[in-house]
Amino acid sequence: MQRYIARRLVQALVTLLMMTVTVFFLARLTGNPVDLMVDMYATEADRSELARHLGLDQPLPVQYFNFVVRAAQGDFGDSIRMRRPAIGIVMERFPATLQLAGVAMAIALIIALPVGVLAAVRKDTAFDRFGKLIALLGQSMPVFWLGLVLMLVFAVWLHLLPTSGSEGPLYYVLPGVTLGWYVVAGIMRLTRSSMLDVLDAEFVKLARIKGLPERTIIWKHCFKNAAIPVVTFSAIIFMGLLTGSIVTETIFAWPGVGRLAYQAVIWRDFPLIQTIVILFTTLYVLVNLFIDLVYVYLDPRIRYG
Amino acid sequence: MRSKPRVALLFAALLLLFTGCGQQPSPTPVPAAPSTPPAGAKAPAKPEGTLTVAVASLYEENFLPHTGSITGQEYRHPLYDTPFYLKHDTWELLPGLVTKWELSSDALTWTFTVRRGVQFSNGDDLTAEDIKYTFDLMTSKESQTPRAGQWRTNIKSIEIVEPYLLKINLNRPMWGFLEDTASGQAGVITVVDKKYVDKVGLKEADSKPIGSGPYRLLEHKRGEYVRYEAVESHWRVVPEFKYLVIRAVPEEATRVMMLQTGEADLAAIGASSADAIAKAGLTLKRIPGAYTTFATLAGPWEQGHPFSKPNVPWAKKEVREALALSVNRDELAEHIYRGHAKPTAHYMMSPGWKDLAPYPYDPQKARALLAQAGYPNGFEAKAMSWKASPGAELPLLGEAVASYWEKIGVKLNLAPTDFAAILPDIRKGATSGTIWFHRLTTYSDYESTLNLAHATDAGGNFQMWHDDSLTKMLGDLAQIKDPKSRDAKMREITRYNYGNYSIIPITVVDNLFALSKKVGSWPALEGGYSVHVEYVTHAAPLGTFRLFTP
Repeated sequence: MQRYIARRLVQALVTLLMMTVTVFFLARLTGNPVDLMVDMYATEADRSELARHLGLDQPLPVQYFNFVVRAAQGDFGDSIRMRRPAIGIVMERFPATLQLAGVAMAIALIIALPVGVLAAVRKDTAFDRFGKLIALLGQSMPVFWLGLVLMLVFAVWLHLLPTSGSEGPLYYVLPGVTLGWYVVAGIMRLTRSSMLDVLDAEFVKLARIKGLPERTIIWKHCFKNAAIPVVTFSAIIFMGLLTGSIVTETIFAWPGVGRLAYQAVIWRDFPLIQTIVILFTTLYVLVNLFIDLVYVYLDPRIRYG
Repeated sequence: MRSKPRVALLFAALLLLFTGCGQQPSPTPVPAAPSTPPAGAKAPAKPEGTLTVAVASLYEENFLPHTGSITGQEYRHPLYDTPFYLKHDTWELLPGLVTKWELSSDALTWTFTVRRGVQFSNGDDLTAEDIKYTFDLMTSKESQTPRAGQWRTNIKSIEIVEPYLLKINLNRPMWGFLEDTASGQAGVITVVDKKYVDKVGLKEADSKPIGSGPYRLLEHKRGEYVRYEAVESHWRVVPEFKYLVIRAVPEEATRVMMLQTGEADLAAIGASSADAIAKAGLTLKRIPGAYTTFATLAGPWEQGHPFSKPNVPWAKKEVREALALSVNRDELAEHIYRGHAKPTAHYMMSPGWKDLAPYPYDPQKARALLAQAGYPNGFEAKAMSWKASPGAELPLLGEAVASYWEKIGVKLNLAPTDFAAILPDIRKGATSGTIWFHRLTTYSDYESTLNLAHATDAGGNFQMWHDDSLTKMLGDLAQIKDPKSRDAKMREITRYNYGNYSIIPITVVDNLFALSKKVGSWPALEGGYSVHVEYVTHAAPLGTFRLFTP
């Protein structure tokens, strides 16, 4: 077990390091931020001076080494455009993205879990087909289109909800549904198939023979067993919501990291791009590591070679 | 008794003689400061309500003038005053923090008289020292302002002669300098409080900014909005709206819906949203002359220049004329810009451009010209387009123009790219021999822009069009000091480019804004960056104080 944990930790560190190399050099292939910051009349001397001031005149390996050494101490550099510590800017915006992803996940689970369970219990009925339709819609509607349509209907036509912003609970509804509906399909399908496996188990037949109410059998016994893969899948889904919220954040003017990432790319703001990518990579790696460790702890039968 | 009239006459003559000296190149009226109304008179109107402006972005969200791009003026401009203002439609220069300005006879020294009685919102007096300090910030090595490099090169020194008098000494004449520092322009000087910055440091001054403008900052929620409160005793304008909220809303469709629901009162929109605005019963404000679009035919520089590609087809004037005549500008204005653009005769809104008629659409003549030039079957060429801000439609425009040119046999291998990625190649001449589609916003400093586009020794090397005649005309222009003669020379350059088909002009595009029913009038600067939101009135104007309306 300890060897396994140590091996996974080393893998996590190697993954992180490779990501820093990738994002560092790829970002610099897209252009020079100095060109975007100076005006057309700037001379070569002006550009060189600004590049020197920003530390962009050093050879790339030197820049990378300096970046890694400072990052290891928690210093990801200052945003080239915003002139403040990049990590501070990202952490200002991160709670908004976390909250939106949380609401989206909650909405997705509230819809997908019961629909998935009931679709499995009432397999091949009209309800099962309805559940599949919900899933299909979620996966086929583009997020930007869905967001704008929801805004048009609920904000402009019905005046029930605000169009954009993040000032209170009502502001979470439209972006939460927009972001969450896409993942309803995956969670619903997994819940359904997991429930179908469990419903065929011997202990379920025994429970029925013993005369337990059907509701108790389904929700207390079957659902708990079926939920294990759903929970682990949901963790991955949640990470996807965190990193994939850029379109939703843009449409709803949500002040999160997704919008910030887009702006950073437009500006070629390397410290900001690097900080955002490394933060999300770290979260992904940690979440995956956590899930793997929890699995091993919960089910000793599972061995990972 | 006889001596008294003679003395009076002599005195009058002497008075006329002395007041006639210190010739000013342009009139400098000194508007009266607001006076206390007489007893019993109606109390001045006070600001009411909230104006919400939806903008695409809050960009860097910094407030000091040297820390952000010019597009940042939208969200931070209400906090500050500037030395000058431009009349929104005529671009007449109006006195702001500078009430009087004089240019020396050698055109190398500007003397500014600073307005007295202006205070920052913390009570500090605004003096010449603050203006100098702001210039110093904007020309510092870490400055991100567009004019930083140009001013570092061209401004020799700034002297504070008296608390309200300063001199700006130049290394070479800078025509258009005053306009360039005005509200809404690329070099705008939003004057900061030096005493405050010295006390709290640059970082704190940037996050808790103090200005002398008609609004003071109340709240800044990063990534979302800035909220201001009106200064009710401002020297220049008391806003009609007590609160001003500028929100970042990147998606245009969302801004339109915010206008429809009343969550926003003013927002920039694109041509495609104009119909939706009209249907919703909102006001569409067209600001003409936001920018021009054009096709640059890069390549034929002077003989021997390293960027020169003398054998490109458009080195021949007949080919350039053919390309110019085969673009249906009316159709492009109608379909791409939904009527919110017009054909233009010149790629730049420089003096004389309005006197010229846009090239006609004549593809038959274009084919004949190509055959005459030795290209009866046309030719192929590499081309590029990219999105700009403004100018998100440029790739679409490029495709449309490419389709027109294909009809006369000119096949473009059009590659959409990103401006930031291609800029280094442009600067080092690697795009010479290609055609690219771009746009130019209105500039106050035409000479610098002409040099950038046409001079071989300009720092930017934008490779737009270069030839010996233009080089000579630009050299002559640099020597002329008289404003009327300078204007005449620039008109000559404009006419030359037109007759030479140096650059293929396409359209001049309007800026579009949508206003809610809450909003009355708004003198938005044509072609400028700032939106002068402090001058927005209620639908039924309150009549608050304003010294002038820009």
